[in-house]
Amino acid sequence: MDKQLAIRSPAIIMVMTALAVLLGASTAYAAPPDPSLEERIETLERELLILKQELQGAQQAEGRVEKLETELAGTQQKLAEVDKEARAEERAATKFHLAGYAAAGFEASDNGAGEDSFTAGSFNPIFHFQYNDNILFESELEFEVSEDGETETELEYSSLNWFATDYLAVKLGKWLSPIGQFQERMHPAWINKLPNAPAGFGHGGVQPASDVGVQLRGGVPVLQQGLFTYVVAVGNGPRVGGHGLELEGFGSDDNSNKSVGGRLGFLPVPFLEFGVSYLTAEVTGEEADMGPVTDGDYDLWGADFAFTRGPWDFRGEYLNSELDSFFGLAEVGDMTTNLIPATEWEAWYLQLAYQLSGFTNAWFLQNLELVGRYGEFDIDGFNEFEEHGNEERFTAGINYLIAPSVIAKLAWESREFDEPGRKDEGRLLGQFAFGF
Amino acid sequence: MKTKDILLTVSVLATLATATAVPAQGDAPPDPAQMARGAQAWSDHCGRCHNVRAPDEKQDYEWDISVNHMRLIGNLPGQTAEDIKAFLKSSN
Repeated sequence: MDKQLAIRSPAIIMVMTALAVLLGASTAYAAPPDPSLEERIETLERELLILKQELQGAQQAEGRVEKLETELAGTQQKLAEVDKEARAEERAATKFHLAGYAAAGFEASDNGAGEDSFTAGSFNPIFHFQYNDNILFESELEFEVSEDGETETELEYSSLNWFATDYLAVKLGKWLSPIGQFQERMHPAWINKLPNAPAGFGHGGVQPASDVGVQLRGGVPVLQQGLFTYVVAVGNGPRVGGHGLELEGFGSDDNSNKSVGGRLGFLPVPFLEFGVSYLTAEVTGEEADMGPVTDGDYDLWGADFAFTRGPWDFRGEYLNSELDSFFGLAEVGDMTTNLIPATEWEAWYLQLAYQLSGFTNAWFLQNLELVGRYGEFDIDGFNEFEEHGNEERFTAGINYLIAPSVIAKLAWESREFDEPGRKDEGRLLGQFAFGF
Repeated sequence: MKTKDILLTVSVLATLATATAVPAQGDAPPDPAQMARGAQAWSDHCGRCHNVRAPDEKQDYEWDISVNHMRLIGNLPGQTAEDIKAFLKSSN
């Protein structure tokens, strides 16, 4: 055992010495630092950090993209739902639309009556129901406050309309008179350029207001830019009695004699229109306690024109009607009928309007519109009828267009009457009108 | 911002832009000729009676009805009314 250790000891010593030398050598090599190697290590460490950050950023970006894509899909779905909802009315076979107009204002007169007043004007809602683009029901109501403070309601029109072809529509029900331009097209407060109607074109004038019956109407293109328009109407017709001649739509015909009328229009170019109108009917005198009752022939004709180009609006109308003599009640309260003499009504007007936007873009000025209108209304024949007419009327106004259908109007009107004892008067008229 | 982020952002924006540019279901592409006819008819015929109203005063379905109402009063041919509707609705 000792011998073995003795033999091995030198070898062990040698090995250990060699290891010590080797260790010493390696220690000797590691000892001096290598700057380039450290720099490379630092560089690699920085690059590794950057790569980690980029990887982290990319992962975060991918997460955001996924989130955005999810949100986008949700938004698109909502958009489709909103779009579908928004077009629900458009797709529906039956559509409803509420339109109309309203007006309020004031009137001041120099006739000494001391009745200068604010006027409630009117509220005219218009209801439209449409089925499949070829059936349209339309109805206009008029609410007004009377001088006594009572609310008056009237059904201006209520008709079913069928668009049979591109050039033919059939109208059935109560409709505004197609005679001339004013009653059917110009009377809404936001369209009428002055606060009132021309003399003879309002209630009690020569202009028929409405009728109940059927119309065939439409327009056919002619020439290069022209248009031919037509309205043929058959209705219950007017009535006559103690309240005078009533040119309004009645729900029944008191003499089974229908009125026939209409209007033909021609537009050689879109901004120039000529029209002629005609109406014929037979009215039956109102009965009294005693005396005969007979029919009277009623005939009306008229002509109109309109030039509407750019800021200019120039138009005019003429209406003439005659009622032959007949036997009937002359005045409410009479006991017997009388021979009512033949009577002739005549009314006309010319109206010129110019919007200052035609020559200036200046603030305020460009929204102004100047309007002038002159007209006359004459009745010749039966005295009771004459009391309501015979007037020369000149009106000058200035309008401010807040919007195309929102208008503030101010006008001065001069009225000269033929009626004995009635003083001529000047009136200041103001009106605020809104079409919606 | 890194290139990858920029590319991602651009791609997302492009997707969004494409999505909004896609016509809604049921929309027919507007016919330029009808638009032109409608604009001319709107200018010509609406002003015959009243101040011309802007397309954005009413919604599309309301123009469908309102123009038919005007077709009656103005005695317009059906095609002219359709042209006006198309113009008003495309300009709305």
